[in-house]
Amino acid sequence: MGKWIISLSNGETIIENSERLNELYSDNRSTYQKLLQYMKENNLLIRSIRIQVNGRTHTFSISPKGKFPTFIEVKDIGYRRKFTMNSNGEKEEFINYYIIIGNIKMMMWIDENSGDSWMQCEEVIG
Amino acid sequence: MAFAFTWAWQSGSTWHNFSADNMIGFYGTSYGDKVTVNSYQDSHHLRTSSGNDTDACVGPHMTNLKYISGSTVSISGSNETNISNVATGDCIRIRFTDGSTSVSTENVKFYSYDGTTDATAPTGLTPKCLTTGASAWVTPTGSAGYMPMADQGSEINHDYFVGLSATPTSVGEKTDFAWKISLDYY
Repeated sequence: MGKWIISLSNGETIIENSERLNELYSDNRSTYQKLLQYMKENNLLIRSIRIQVNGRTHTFSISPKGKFPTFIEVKDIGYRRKFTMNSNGEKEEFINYYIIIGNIKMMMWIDENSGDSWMQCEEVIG
Repeated sequence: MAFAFTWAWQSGSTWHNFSADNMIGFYGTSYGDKVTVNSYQDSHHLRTSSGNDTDACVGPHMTNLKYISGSTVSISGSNETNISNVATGDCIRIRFTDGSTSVSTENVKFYSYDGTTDATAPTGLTPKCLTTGASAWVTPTGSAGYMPMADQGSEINHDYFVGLSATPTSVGEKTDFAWKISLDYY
């Protein structure tokens, strides 16, 4: 199963199922929900996301100190998992990171079983 | 425990989980009875596999929700009524959980397809589905024609309730046919 590694604007790097976040917030929320609360409380932003699946790492970085920095405002950046199951009991699991620039959401999807990856773009309404 | 969906149906007041080899069958009045072309099923049953004549329902059979018109249904043979009268216990419950972690869900989609390619409609039949609180049946042929279901906030158990109906448009057993649920979570 894949996992995310997220670097924040204060230089911290958080790994999914981080003990640090679980010690800060002892409830049963997912680590990502705890990370969102931690970022809000400390006024932090995501600077990069790495998704590791089957020994491969997929990286997205938005560092303003990069050699070719991004001058367009990134409205949101984050991660999601997708789970499907059909009436025959067949399952699929995917993980992604996404960024929203303007009204376009770009998602890098990775199949957690095969490791295949692809980019999906969709228009964000509202 | 890893995240997973569990499909279940209610008999009496008890929810029974589908076993790994259970399939949903659409029949005439009783298990094994054929459904007439362009008519909707008069009973739902679990079966253990395609071509295997084993009724896997436990105790009272699954509630049958039969499509009558775009906004009406017959519930286990009752007179035509508005689909707003369908209760959660009349439906199939699809629960998403890992048993311990609170997550939020979004982008929840339910549809039928040919069992192989998500975008391809099932062959030789017209599927219908509903969810509790809906005002109309949906004809969810392929992933593009999905029935949307509500996002849910941070909870351990996420329950989705669906009612299913179908009519054959040609004679013969329909095997290029499956239902699928898909959601995003974090």
